Amino acid sequence: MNAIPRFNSNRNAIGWFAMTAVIALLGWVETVQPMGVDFADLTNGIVTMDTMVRVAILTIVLVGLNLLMGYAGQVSLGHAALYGLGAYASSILCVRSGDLLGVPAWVLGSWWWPWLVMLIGMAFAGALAYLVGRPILRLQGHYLAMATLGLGIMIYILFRENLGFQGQHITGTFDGIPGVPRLRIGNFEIWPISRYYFFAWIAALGAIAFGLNVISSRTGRALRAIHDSEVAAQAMGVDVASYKVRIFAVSAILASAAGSIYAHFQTTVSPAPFSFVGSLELVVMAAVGGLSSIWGAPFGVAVILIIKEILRSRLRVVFSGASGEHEVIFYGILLVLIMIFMPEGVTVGAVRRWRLWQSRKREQVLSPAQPQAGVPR
Amino acid sequence: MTGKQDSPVLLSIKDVSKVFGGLMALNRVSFDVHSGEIVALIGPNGAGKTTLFNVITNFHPLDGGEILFGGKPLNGLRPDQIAQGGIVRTFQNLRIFHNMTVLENAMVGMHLQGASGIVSAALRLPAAREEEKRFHDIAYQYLEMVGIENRAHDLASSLPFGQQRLLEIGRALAANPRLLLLDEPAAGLTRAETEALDELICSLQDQGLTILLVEHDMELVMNIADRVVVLHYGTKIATGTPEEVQANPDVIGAYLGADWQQDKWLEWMLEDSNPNAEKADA
Repeated sequence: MNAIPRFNSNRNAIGWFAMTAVIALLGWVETVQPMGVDFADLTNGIVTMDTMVRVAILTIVLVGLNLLMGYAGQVSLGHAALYGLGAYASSILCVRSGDLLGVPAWVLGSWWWPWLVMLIGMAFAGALAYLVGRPILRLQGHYLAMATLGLGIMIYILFRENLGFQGQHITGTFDGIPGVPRLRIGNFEIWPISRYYFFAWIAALGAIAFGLNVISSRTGRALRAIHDSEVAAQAMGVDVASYKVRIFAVSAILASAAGSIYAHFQTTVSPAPFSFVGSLELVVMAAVGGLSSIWGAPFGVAVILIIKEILRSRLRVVFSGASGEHEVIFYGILLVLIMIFMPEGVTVGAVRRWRLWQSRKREQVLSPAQPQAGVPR
Repeated sequence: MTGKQDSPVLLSIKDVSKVFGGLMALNRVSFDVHSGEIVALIGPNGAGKTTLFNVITNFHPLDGGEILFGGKPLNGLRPDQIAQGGIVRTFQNLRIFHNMTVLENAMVGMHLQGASGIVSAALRLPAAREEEKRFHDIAYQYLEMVGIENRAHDLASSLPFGQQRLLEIGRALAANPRLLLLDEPAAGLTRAETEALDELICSLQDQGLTILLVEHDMELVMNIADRVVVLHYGTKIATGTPEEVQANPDVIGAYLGADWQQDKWLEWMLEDSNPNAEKADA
């Protein structure tokens, strides 16, 4: 049995090496500033440390979304709202829970409270996704897309409408909730931004490791089987509905964790990033990175965020009067182009074509010119 | 052959009916499959053979009657629960997992023999890793059994048609079924491939597996089946050994109209069911 060849076992090792090397290098440039060059100088101020932290945070969301969309084949159009749940859980429970719930001041001031809140947010998002997903995912087809669209808009409106009772406000208006504390471990504050950069990327790499472990497991194979043929997966004993619900809940938990990390990064949480446009942006990122590629996640996020920064800083030069809203047009065009030419996503499309070509080549070597006369397809 | 019919009944189809719109796809069909038997289900196109498979595995709910497996009714179970009970099927129009490797396809077949979930997999707990290794090794053995282990790490979609059929069977075997349902396993195979399939199915029977198959290739059916059940427009018109069924005037009538000679009928069927025969001979 030892002779069984294992395929591509070092492909992930290469990914890990490349990824950590790039992250460490960029972090080193920022902290040490060799020859007086800091990170932002590398790209003439367009891509900053701030952008890189956002890439890390959204990578966590994207890993979950990839597991759901790329591997289980279910589209979520409300993932930004699940991401927002984490951000709002962190901001509300860290800033307002003293007045709202009577949490004592020594707890609010302690270093572990924000971390506990993060876990509470994850549990809440996971439970919500599970409860919403259970009835929907029993149905076949794209019901989840519609339901998550509705769920996302509902949650967004709750964020925006300054929800409150007995004179206390919970969510805040468009202005959001200011004053979210920085994260600390004991007395070690995870700030300035170079520290937060490393923290966010450790979390992102953790999410990538999580995703990679899941897809190469029994669960991951079941999900991929569902994506390829629900009927055949069922015939092999895979409880299709249960797996879809579970992976939806897992992706919500990841999104919520990312939201909490975002809240402690921004220190002010406002509803804008968690709207439908935010969800659409996540779907575009997933499509660019590859719908069934965990490694594609950081790639997709980085490409979109960097393009966005360039558009933001240069679009006004070309089209005077262009505002942030014009991004939506760009996303639309990009998504249409990707879906026409590479429906599996840009990176996966390229890799898969290459692998198929390799397999075909091997087949010709193994069975040269086998007669296949009269085989109906 | 005679001994097998004394063995206990494994699958019992009782008065099973299925209606699509106004069409009676299955009309009070009844027959038993005994443990260790190979039973072939034949009949002209549209006779309801695949529908019966879909009803047994509960992809379509029953409209009447009852199906017992090992004495227990299957009504109301989900398809995955049917698989859990030990009935595993293949599909007439192949449904392999195209985006997975050949080995991974077989490992999905082993799904029910594992217990690891998302958490244990994500944390790479020892139990999950142990299970993964076990899955890997055993799935490879099933690929060896159907003879496609040299393609284990290729994408399933890159296999030629005949090997994709074998993969479907290998994947079903990996689920370790008590009853294997094969839906036209020889369709589209060359004569050489069909002969290999013949041997494979017989060796599975020797290992104690019970098999119910739908097949158009009469030569294969006559070679391997212990008993044959003939469906015609959703109704069972005959059952018996291959020899008995061949001689049954109702069967001949169903296929050809009443006044054909038996030997001519067999000749016609053999010719018709094996379109590759001439090419392989030439």
